[in-house]
Amino acid sequence: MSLNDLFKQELKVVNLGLKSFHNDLKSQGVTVVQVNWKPKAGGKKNMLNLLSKLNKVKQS
Amino acid sequence: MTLHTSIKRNAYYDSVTLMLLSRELQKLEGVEDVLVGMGTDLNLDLAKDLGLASGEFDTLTPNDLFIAAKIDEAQISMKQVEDAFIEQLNKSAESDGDEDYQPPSLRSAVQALPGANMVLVSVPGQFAAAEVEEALDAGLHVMLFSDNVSVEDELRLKQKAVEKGLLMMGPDCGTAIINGKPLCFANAVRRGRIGVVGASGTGTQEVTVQVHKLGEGLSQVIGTGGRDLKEQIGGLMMIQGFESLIADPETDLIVLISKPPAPLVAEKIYQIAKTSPKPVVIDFIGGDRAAIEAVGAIPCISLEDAAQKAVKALHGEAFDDFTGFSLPEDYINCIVDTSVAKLKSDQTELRALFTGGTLADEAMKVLGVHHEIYSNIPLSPEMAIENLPGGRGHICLDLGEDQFTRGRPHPMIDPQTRTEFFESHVDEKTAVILVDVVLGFGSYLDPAGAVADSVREIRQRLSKQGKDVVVIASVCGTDLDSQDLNKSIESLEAAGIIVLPSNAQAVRLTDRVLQRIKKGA
Amino acid sequence: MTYLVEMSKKELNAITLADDLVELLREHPSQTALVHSVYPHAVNLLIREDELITLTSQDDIPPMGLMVNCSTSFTEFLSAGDKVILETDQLTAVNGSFTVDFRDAKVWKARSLLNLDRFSTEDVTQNRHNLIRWLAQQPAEGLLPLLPRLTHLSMSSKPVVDNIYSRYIADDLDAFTTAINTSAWEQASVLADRLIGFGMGSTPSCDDFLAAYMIVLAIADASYPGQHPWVRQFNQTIASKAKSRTTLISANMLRLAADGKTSRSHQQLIQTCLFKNSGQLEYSASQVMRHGATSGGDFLLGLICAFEWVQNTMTDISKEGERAWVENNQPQPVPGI
Repeated sequence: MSLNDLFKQELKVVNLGLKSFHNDLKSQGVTVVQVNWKPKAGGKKNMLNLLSKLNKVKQS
Repeated sequence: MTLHTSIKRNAYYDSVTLMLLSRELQKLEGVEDVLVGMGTDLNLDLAKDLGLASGEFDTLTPNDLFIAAKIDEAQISMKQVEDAFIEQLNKSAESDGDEDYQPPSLRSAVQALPGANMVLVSVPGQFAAAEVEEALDAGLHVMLFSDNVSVEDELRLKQKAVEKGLLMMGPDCGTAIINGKPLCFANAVRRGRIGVVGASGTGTQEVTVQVHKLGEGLSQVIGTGGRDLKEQIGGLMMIQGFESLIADPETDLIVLISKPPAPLVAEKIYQIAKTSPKPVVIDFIGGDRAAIEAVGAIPCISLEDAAQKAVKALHGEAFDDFTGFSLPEDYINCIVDTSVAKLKSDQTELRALFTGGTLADEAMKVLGVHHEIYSNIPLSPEMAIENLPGGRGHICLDLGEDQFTRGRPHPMIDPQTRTEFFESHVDEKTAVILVDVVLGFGSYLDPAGAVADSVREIRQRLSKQGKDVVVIASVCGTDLDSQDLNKSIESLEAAGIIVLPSNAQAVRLTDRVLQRIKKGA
Repeated sequence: MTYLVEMSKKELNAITLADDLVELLREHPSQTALVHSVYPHAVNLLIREDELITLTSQDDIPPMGLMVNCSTSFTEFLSAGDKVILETDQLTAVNGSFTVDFRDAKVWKARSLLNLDRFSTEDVTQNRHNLIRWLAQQPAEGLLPLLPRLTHLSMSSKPVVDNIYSRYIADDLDAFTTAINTSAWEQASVLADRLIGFGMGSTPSCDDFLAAYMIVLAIADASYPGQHPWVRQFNQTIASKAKSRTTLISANMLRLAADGKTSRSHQQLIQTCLFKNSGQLEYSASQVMRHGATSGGDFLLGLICAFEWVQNTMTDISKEGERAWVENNQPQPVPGI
């Protein structure tokens, strides 16, 4: 879906991070979902790289 | 077994919460019996009858919550019981406050929200790239608010985004308005026919606010992140945004905002502007005017000027550089006269304290022409703030820069940092204070009030030495912002602050005052 | 950029105001109130030492209340101890965090307008029965384990899950309801002493139970003026005892209940209990269970018990009415000349 397509759609947002952004969007009537975000793999950077490589392998 | 009573004064919880709490506490190892309730006479009677009363009961009133427990201290302490109480409360509070489901990951969020088309990422920088990658892979547009993302990651992610025709606004992108909805730090502005692509957060905010003030509106406001127009990134998002606005039937005129791009990048953008069927206003702050005009685009001398030219061009009206003021020249002279008259002869210094980076930049560009301004974003290395001779001279600070935001909130969100600078950097030699007041989503709930309070304190402090100070401000906001533009202006004026309708004008007035002081010296 | 964030000022609008609140605001055009307690969907403001005004963001409004269009949890921008200024057309937080505009709000009547005289005893009996059956299926929290005992009805063989509070108070509750049903008002008043302030919650279970009684009694008193002259004093006695015996929130609720005032969902439920069409009954009952910080189940139990008294009263009154009619319509002996 290209950028110009986005302009024609209703904005539906997934928010990862600061709750206030979610709240501000919600207060404007925007459909928004707040992710209860935690670092993957307990935050270990190496694990992260491994995981993301794994995801790519799964997808191929 | 020992008896303990924990008391929470004036604590009010609904019965469902308390009941869950009771159950949870009863389950703890080492808790033989526990009663949770309000300290009414009859509840205390029950506790006594159950053998759970202890000495502290006498202090209980009906509006206090008590936890009366009989515990085996070998297995558990009352402190642990209290901790379990608080943990359970927090669990209940979270699930009460958010009736909405909070999925644990981006993937589950996308499943839970069919038609999701935008992901807003503000998690710590080191984790952000992976999340953005996942979002782009899933075909979603991204706004990346986080900074501390490497240039390599930014390039890789933007290339992927461009390949798929997706937005990747950022990193460090604080402002966007997509389909009329403000994202992160943005002002409430009317919808209209002017589209903006901006690499500067508060620069974009100022332009949108000025467009709104002139009665026009915004179709799309796309952010690119501060590094987009550097050579390594090659302006990928600026170009993508620019092209999409050219193709957008709802956009009749396009404004581009950035600090001067790398030359190769600027060239790419000029070529697109050359063939654009729609008028293009280019504000490459301090950029190459001739080059812009050569491709038929409209150059600007300030953010306000960009907005004014955009509106005039949209209306097919002729336009000139806006170098002056909205108020008549006489009036401005009067303001300058009365301001300078307030000052004593040893008051000569500027203290410009900005929360918006681009607004600070705009100030530096104008004031740097006639004055030597030391700064943390200096025009040249010798003017770096560290070099300030004996701490005496003109200072202009961008308080949103990393060095001031380590471990503390950005000054647009929390005025405390600037309040501290008002206290530490303004003294008896200060002649002029210049500030920006940024309203809108994401900003503090009353930035004008905070500045007004600080100024009152400063005047009080200086009056003890028989001195006063000139304070000049502009408010980047609209009548639709929750902090209310008019109330903000009133609040500032009530503290004796001179409020100008744009950052450019506030800076220009400051320049005039400083020049007059110099002349008088 | 780093990460502590403040909410921008909320400008809320009041959708509905209770008429008693409107009157209060007219009498006192400007006053300061203190935030007393904050829940995700409700806030209590303290005025005049011990009276509460309630803001709610849910679709139910209490007496001295106002319904506002707030989509986030109140706990995010309000804390106990915050000050607000109340004026006739708006409410403003002193710390600038929010305002509420009253100007477009509808007004809702806090006092129930029901007149028992309009309803038939059979309908009331049938509806009460249906309500009991429905309540028996709900989770047995608070005082609900006592439903079988207080209604003298045997329920299904489901094992009764009770709790320490319901066990402890069972006899006292039983004695109280019996006293009311046998018209022993003074005794009931004394027995209420054993109930006020007892149970779980910021409005303890027994207070919710009593509130239901008080409202029903007040409705009966208004429906049959002069028939139950003791109701007013009875209600006032409980309300004034409550001031020192229970939480401020509960005492406030009981004070309003003594006057026949209760929230819209509670009023709707009472009305539904009186109407023939009991299809609404389950919906109205579940609204009461859902809303508010009080335990709806305890209120419903009180309602069921109070309606037993109502059934008796309506029957008596109609019998008395019949007698009076018969007397009035007897042919009079013609005096001999």
